[in-house]
Amino acid sequence: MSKGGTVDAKVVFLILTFSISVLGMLAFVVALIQKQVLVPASAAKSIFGKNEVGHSELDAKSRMSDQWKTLDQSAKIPILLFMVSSVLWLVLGSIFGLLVSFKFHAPEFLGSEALLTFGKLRPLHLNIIAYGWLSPAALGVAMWLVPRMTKVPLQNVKTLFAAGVIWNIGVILGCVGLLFGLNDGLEWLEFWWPFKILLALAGAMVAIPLFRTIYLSKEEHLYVSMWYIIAALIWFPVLFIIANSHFLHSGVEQAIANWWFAHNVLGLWVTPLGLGIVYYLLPKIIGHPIASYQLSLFGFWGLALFYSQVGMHHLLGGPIPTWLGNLSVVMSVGMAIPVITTAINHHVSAYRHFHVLNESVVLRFIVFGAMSYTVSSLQGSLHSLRTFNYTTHFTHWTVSHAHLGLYGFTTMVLFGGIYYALPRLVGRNFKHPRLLNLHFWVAATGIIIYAVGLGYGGWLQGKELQNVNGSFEQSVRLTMPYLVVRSFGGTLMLLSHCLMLYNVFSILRPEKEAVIK
Amino acid sequence: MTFKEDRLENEKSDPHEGSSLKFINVPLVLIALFVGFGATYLALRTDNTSMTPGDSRTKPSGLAAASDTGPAGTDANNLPALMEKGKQVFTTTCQACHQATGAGIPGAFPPLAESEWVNGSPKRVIAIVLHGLQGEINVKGQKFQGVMPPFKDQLKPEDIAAVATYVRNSFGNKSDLVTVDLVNKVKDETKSRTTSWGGEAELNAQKWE
Amino acid sequence: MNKAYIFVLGGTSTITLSIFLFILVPRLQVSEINKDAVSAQSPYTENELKGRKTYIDNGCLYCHSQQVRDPVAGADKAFGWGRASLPSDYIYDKPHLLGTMRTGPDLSNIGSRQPSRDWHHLHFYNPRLLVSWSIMPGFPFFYEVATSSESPKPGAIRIPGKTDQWIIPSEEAENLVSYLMSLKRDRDPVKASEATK
Repeated sequence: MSKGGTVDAKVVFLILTFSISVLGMLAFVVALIQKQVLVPASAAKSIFGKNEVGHSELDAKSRMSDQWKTLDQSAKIPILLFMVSSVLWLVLGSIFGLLVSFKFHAPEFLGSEALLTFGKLRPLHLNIIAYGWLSPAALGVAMWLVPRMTKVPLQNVKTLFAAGVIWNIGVILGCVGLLFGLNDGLEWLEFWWPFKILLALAGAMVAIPLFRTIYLSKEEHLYVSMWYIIAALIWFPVLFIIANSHFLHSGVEQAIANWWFAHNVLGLWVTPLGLGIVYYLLPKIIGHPIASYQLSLFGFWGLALFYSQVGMHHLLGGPIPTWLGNLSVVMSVGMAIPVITTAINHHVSAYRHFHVLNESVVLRFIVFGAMSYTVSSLQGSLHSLRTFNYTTHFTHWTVSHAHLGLYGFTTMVLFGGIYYALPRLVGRNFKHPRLLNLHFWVAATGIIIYAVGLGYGGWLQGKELQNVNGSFEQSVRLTMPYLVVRSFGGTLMLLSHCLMLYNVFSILRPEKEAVIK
Repeated sequence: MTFKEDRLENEKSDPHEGSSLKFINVPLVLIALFVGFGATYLALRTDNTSMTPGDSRTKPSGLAAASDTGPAGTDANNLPALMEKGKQVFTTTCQACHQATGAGIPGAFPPLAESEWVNGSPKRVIAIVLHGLQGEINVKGQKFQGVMPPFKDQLKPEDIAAVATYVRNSFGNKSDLVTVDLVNKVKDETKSRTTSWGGEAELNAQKWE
Repeated sequence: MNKAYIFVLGGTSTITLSIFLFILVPRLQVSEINKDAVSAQSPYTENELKGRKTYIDNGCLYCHSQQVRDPVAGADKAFGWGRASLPSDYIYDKPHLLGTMRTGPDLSNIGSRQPSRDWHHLHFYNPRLLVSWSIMPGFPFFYEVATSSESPKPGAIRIPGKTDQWIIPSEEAENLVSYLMSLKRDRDPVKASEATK
């Protein structure tokens, strides 16, 4: 092997990247001091209209103010398309998820039908939730917020509508393809590649109205949520296209590209959209700006730098170069910086005005989501460390962690976002506001049971897989009770989604007495 | 929505909110901690194994040291050493069909426990493991008609000696041990063989002593 | 357009750095390593590739890994799953099937450690016939069941516990088992310089 020259060059690469990251952060600190001058103190308040600061919004009364009405309804039809289709996908995806969960402890359940076998439903569940629910729901809420922050009605409404249609066609074709053997065989990227072109195209099409609207904006400053939305819409097409360029990769290189994507699609796509929504709705509903606007700069740039480099902790112990794992471990730990700064911003703001939680169900969803983000991110930093990773790798712990992040955080935030947006979009209140509250409690109970139960079972499983005097049989037997607990949590989650489906369709049905002038 | 002008909650809101530098030391401390951690971690982890292809390896997983030779010291033709190694080979290779108890699966995989074939000629046991079996065979009064794959390429002579000894001295069996020399001898005698044994009929036609 | 460019530039540069570090550099390094190692693996046959597709389409990878860790990380070796894996073990794998779950055991070396085709067919037909505690789904739809006192067809396998019931593997099942039989990542690669002697 040619040690010496080439190898040394790679050590240099490693040191170089680490230095670039450190320098980047230092340069940023300097920039921050200058930003003090550039960011007006009012920036954090730019989301508030006249006389709104200091007043919490009670969504039970759902005051639909005239000053937002034109902006809120500027792209009514495409936003509704994104939101309603995503809720339908959510229900379908969680039915598949629950079936999969049952099959873990009742393997004969629906087992004799080729199309309903575990291995077909499992990728359907993941892809429907990732591309049918999370992506369009997050896009819908984010794009609905864009006019509120730019103070310009959304541009290119037809393009956005077309993007929604193309996206949904892509997901439908992708799912049907999976059932009949059109499967690319990579986790998180199962859809057959021609169908994925539709998703990449639709993703890029959403960027058009976004940038056109920003272009027309006369606002001095872009609110923090906009940073996340802009970056996410740049990152997604890049990630998706690189990871799907199958001609580039095979073998171990493909595994590296696969997990680079699979973590980035969470960190650079779903997470920034979710955080953007929290950064808007949390202060907005409370009626006070976030605790420290400067901290949010650290949160954003830290995420951009660190989150894009953490993916290799999925392959620790595998046939990848050690330095690659080392780098991802360090960057995963580095994620604590943006997470803690973001956490301070969110939790201090919420804590100061905790009483608003009594009045606003939307805020409950948002605060629950923000708390889950903190917990699941710190959990992620912790179990990327090799000591923990050796135990948790290959176990249900990972599944529990993924659900805490994607359900506890993103999905809960999106529930809140959709519930906040819908009355303002259609100009009517929810007929049964109490069902929103019920939805929250059923979903929150479900995900807590799911995450705690399965996480603990996964930990036991991991310990057994490390026990040289143990056996694989024991690792299966140990997890059985926790798999049943998971199904119980999952059932609650599905029930809450059915409630949501009802809520969404009841507000869409026009009824005279519910109309608010 | 209208707010009465006389409500002054506006004024009471924290004047520092939104522009406060109150928490600014938090990220600065975090960054300092991170730089310290990252530098230490990479310094400790970066050695001559960090460029080799394989994460978390106790040995540099270059080409030369790719595989472990397993528990050393196979000189022993003594019973405890053979039994320990034999159990390991059995668990990995044989247990799926013949089951941990050696009872087999009725109608599919023959039992090893108290089997006349296992406890008979050691050379015949070796021959079956080496070349496999395809055809009818009666074990403990039950007729089986399955396929046992050959193991002459997968298992080393030491492994075969160990696993043969193990099955002949487990599950209630009690027969003499099988040496590596004997395995090598049978391997040599049957080296022209390319197919599996054709069942009971062919096995019985051979002379095993 | 009011500072959006900062975020466009920032987003683009961080993702570029990430692509460079995690796609380009590992790619160059791994291909260099593989160039020097003549893999002990051989290309998959046509039937094995068909079986591999069946493996993908039926989601086997969601429960079975195909990568073995060093003893420092887990009990992989003690469970008999083989030596720690190397990049050259995967040069014919496209798409890769390394997997990240071990709800079922690792399959890197299943062809070496469990080479009985009969066992695999019965196990696919109904895993709990052979492994009472298994939670693997059965694949009865890959098999035709025949009733007969004698073997109805070459390759038919009697169902344990039944005297007159046989399963006849479909072509799909045969290919899938052929693929599993081809998974033998227990031999070491050799140095390119030595292989050409």
